[in-house]
Amino acid sequence: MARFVGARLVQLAFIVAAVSVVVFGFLRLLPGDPIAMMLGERPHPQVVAEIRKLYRLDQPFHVQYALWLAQVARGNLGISYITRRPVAALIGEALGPTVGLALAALAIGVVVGVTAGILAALYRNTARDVAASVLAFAGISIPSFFLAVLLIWVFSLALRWLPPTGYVSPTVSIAGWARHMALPAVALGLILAASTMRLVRSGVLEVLGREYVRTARAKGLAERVVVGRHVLRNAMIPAVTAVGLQLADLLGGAVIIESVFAIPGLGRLTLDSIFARDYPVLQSAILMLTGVFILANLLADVTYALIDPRIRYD
Amino acid sequence: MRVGRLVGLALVLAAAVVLLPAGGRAQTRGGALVVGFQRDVLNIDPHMWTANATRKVMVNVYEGLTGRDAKLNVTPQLAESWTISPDGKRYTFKLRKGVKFHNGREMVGEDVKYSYERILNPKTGSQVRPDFEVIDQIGVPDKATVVIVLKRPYARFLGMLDGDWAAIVPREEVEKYGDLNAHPVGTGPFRFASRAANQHVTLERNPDYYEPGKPYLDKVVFKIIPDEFALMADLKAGSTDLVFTAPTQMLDELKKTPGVSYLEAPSSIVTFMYLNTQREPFSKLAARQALAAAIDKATIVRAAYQAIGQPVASLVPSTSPVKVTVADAPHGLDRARALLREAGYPNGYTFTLNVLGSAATSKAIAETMQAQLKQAGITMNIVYTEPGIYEEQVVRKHDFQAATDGTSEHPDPDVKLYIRLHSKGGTNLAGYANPQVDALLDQGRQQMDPAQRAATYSKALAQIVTDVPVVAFAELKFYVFVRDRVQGFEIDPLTMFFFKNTRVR
Repeated sequence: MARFVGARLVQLAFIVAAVSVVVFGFLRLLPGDPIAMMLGERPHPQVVAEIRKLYRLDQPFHVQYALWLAQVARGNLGISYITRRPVAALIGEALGPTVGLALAALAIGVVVGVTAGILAALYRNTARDVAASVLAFAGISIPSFFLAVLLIWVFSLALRWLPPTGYVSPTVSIAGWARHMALPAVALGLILAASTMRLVRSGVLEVLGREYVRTARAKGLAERVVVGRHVLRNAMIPAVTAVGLQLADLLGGAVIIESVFAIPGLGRLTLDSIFARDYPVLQSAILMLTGVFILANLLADVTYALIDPRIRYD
Repeated sequence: MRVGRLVGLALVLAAAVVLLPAGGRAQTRGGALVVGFQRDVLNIDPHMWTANATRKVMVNVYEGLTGRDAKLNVTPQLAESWTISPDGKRYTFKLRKGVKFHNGREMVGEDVKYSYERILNPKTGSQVRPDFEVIDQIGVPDKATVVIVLKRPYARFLGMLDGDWAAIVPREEVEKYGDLNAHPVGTGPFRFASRAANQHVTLERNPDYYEPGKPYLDKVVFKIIPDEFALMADLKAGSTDLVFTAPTQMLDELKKTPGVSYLEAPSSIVTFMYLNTQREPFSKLAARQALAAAIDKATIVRAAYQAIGQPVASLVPSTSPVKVTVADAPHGLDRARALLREAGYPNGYTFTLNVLGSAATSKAIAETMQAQLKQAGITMNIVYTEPGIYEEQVVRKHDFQAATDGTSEHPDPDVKLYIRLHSKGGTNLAGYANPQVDALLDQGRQQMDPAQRAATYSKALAQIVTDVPVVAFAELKFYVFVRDRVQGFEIDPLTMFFFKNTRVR
């Protein structure tokens, strides 16, 4: 197991390095000059040329890459073109809100999805199952931003229970953080819950039909024990896969949800940097997202081994 | 320290009570104003900033030698008066006394010299450096006097010394931190308190401000909410006091919101399009004139902006302090068809319009115009262009036939016209070169008499309307929604926010 994880981490380093070259190249192939765009209405060619020179954007591609790499190797991610603040500080400030949102959404998604999936399977073809399935289908079909606007409309404007937008750091106020995070986490989490529920439901149904379940019941084990010990453990494998795969959607969804709810996270930072062609920020943000994504998949793989005794990585 | 401030405050309050006329109501002081913004501030160093939203926040922190009133007349600010030599080249400024930077140090003439030299230094990267190159020398005979000698007379000189682009800054702070992006220090009514990326920028009262009793507010919080609809929800829920962006189609509904007032005023914003005179079909004068004749501007502007826009004949809006008179190109389908024949396109021509961005208003302009041109036999293809691509293709490579754009800079004709329509202009995207217009634009910059300038620019504009290098669509109003607790807020035609005189109940 340790060897497997170690190998995967080495792999991760290589992937991130490769991605860095690709990202660096593609960004500079994008049309649009960050400096001219920054100057907005009055991109005086002379001023543009001077600032490009200041930021070394007039150097050839490989020189720029080498400069950047040397900087990163020294632990310096550079300075944003448009805000002139250190990239490390910008990413550091944006990381907290995104991680908080993703974890809250993941928790909602897994708890709601797994519970609903199990219940729907155990009460197959009853009104409860149909209701859960219809809701799940709706959850898969509704775009997250629409659900987000719907939630704001109901809980902020009509009922006035929760703030419509904004963010309070948990270090400032846990209650404030929770109040601001409730709606975005639900908007993002419910969509995750919907697909998790369907996978868990079919997983449980499949396991229920297996011989060892019949055997367990024949042994006279209580239904609670049968479901808890035999059914759930085996049915969880597809669910874990699903959640692992959905981390990508979760990050993508977070970008949209962060925009609607004005959450100052990594998604917002990335989006803003794309539109401004703020290369230094964008490079680091994309590498960051790549790393998070690969780590999440690794985590899913390790979880399998813990759940399913048949899976061994050595 | 805190006690001292309290004593000072008590004294001010006592003075206010004593000085109030009998029966007068005490001014409300204190409180926080919350402003909803879609974009975070970017670089907040006043000699490096570029973004409109950044300036909206920071003009409350920084000031220039001159200011402006709601009619865009130049007013004294850090300079209390000035004299201009008869040849228009020598300006002598008397500085206001008792002005302190937010770090407590007195502002003196050397700070003015330092600030302007910093703008002129290419390493600073100031956007207005080309304008400042009109300066020949800066002298500081004593700490309250600054003498500036220009290379040639420049009509816009006093106007360009405002806090928007030419803030006076303390050298020691720049030298301590390298720039003013992390530690802003100015002379304005508010001090910079804190910021958190994409969350908020917070300003607090400057207790040493030189105008007695001002500002009234303790705090101004600029809250960042990127989504237009979420911004409006915030205003309705009462957690934001002032919002200045709203979907045009929602304006009427929003105006009915209880507890919220709608304010509007003419602004310096003009929307227009370039016709590339270096490319077929618009290299032919008659082809450009045919397009101008075929469009019905009033309908286009109504479709796009409803009551927010007024059709405009040229790039110079009605808010210009120089009052130009210009008649728009005549409109008529018969005239358009005759011009098409004259241009050698009896069956019309086809061209592509690059629309900057894809806002609903831009879409409405493009689609309405497309239908109108069709009637004259002109086929227009529309390409919505992301700003980055637009910058490369249209601005840098001039690889387009027609392209929409907008300008929100100062409405003085020199600012609006020179960079776009002078053959040497920095963003002359139409590739327009008319020696007669060049001569008039050069002359207009150097005339000091407003009436003479008006005559010069009216003449230039008549020629520009005939030549059609650009088609101006609309001048826009700037509008804000404010909650009723906000008082004393006035709209600035240059779309900045000044909160010196604002109070909250």
